[in-house]
Order: sequence, then structure tokens, then C-alpha cells
Amino acid sequence: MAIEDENGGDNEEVNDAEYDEALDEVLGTLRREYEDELPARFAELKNYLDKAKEGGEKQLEWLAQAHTIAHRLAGTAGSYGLAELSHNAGIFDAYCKRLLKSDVKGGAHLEDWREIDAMAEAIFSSHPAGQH
Amino acid sequence: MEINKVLMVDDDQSIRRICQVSLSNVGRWQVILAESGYDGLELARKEKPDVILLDVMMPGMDGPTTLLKLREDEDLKHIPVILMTAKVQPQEVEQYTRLGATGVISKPFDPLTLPSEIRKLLCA
Repeated sequence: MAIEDENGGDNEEVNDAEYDEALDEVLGTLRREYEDELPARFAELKNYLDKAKEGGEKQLEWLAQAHTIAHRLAGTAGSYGLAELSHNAGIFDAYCKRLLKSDVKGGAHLEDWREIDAMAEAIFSSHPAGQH
Repeated sequence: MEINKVLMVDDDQSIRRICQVSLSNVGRWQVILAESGYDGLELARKEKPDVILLDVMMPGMDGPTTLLKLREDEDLKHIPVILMTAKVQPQEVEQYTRLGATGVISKPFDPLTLPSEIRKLLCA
């Protein structure tokens, strides 16, 4: 048997025990690569939230972009073993989904922003990449 | 059913990466990756996979729309399609099943058990 990396490339032939160990190593490498990308994702999320908070006609569009990032984090982080980050991103995801579906006219209310800020902070504090 | 080739459609590179490793190393399947519904349809026509994994929320053509296109295509309508989404609600599962999905896998997933989840849905 040979282990394939994320590019579909084969590494050397191995037996069962070595195969499990090699698979763990590949998954570990993938997780480290994913964690290396988190600061950029957090910065992107914060940027969209800051823009949305400024208000204006694009407010819902910015909020939808922030929602997309949180939705992706909810799905991916847990698959890489980052359960707390996935959980907190999932809370933000569900909240924004409801908020955007309700078609808020004239912008999100102040209490929405308080809640959104708290949920975003929970996401950032779920991983060292988001802690300042 | 026997699975040899799996097409995975997701716009998120991080998910495509971990699926590739899981499906090829744990499932021992040939994996084809697409990053949009449009690319997924094209690759499905070209590669004729045994099963298609389809993300629900994608820009452009989303998962349910891609599923409808697959179901309208005479050459592809028989291929089982499993939708993948975060925080799936029971009514959504029902809705996707009505559209012709074989099943739904919730994200996040465990890369070590994803292939067995797929097999289970295909055998149900």
C-alpha cells in the first residue's frame, strides 16, 4: 500500500502499521497547513464585519461575506480536529443565516451587533491564531 | 455497490484537501476534485464517477441546483449524489432527498470514518 498526500501523489510502499502512522502524519501535516491559514481567514472575517458595521447600502452584502467565512470555518475546522472553533463558528453561522433570511431593512440593530461581536470574539478566542 | 471513483465538488480548498486524503487513503478510491457546480457537471460527464459528493453552499451554482442538473441529464441521473453541509436540519435532509439526493453528510466530518459514512448511505 502507498499513502497519497493531498495532491494525490504516492509516497513509498508501507505495511499496515506503517500505513496508519503515515496517514496520521499526512493528516497532521494537513492540520498544520490549515492552522497556518487561519490568521488570514480571521482577518478577512474581521474586515467584513468592520465594513458591515459602518452601515451603508452594502451592509448586508458584507455581513453575507462574513457569514460565508463563518459557515466554511464551521464545516472545515471540525474536520481538521478543531472542535471548539468549529462549534463557535457554527453558532455565528446559524445566527447570521437567520438574520440574513429575515431581510433586515435599514441595517442590523445595535443588539444584533453586540451579539455578533460576542460570537465573533468567541471564534477568534477558539484558536491561538485569533488571540491578540 | 462497488465504488472505484468518487467526484468531490466543494469550493473550499481546505475541504477538498482533507477529502482527497480521506477518500483515497481510507476509502482507497480514485478521487476527482471540482471547485464549482459547473466544473462538477463537466467532470461528471467526462469521468462518470460511481458517486458524487456535493457541497450545498457554493457561489455560482449551489449544490441543490447542481443536483437538479445532474438529475436532468440522462447519462448522469443514475449516479448517487451525497450532499455535504454544515449543521444540517432534518427538514433540509427531507428537502434534498426530494430533489434526488441519496443522502446528506454533515460537516464537520471525521476523515477516518467519512468513507464508511458514504458506504452506509449507499447501502441504505
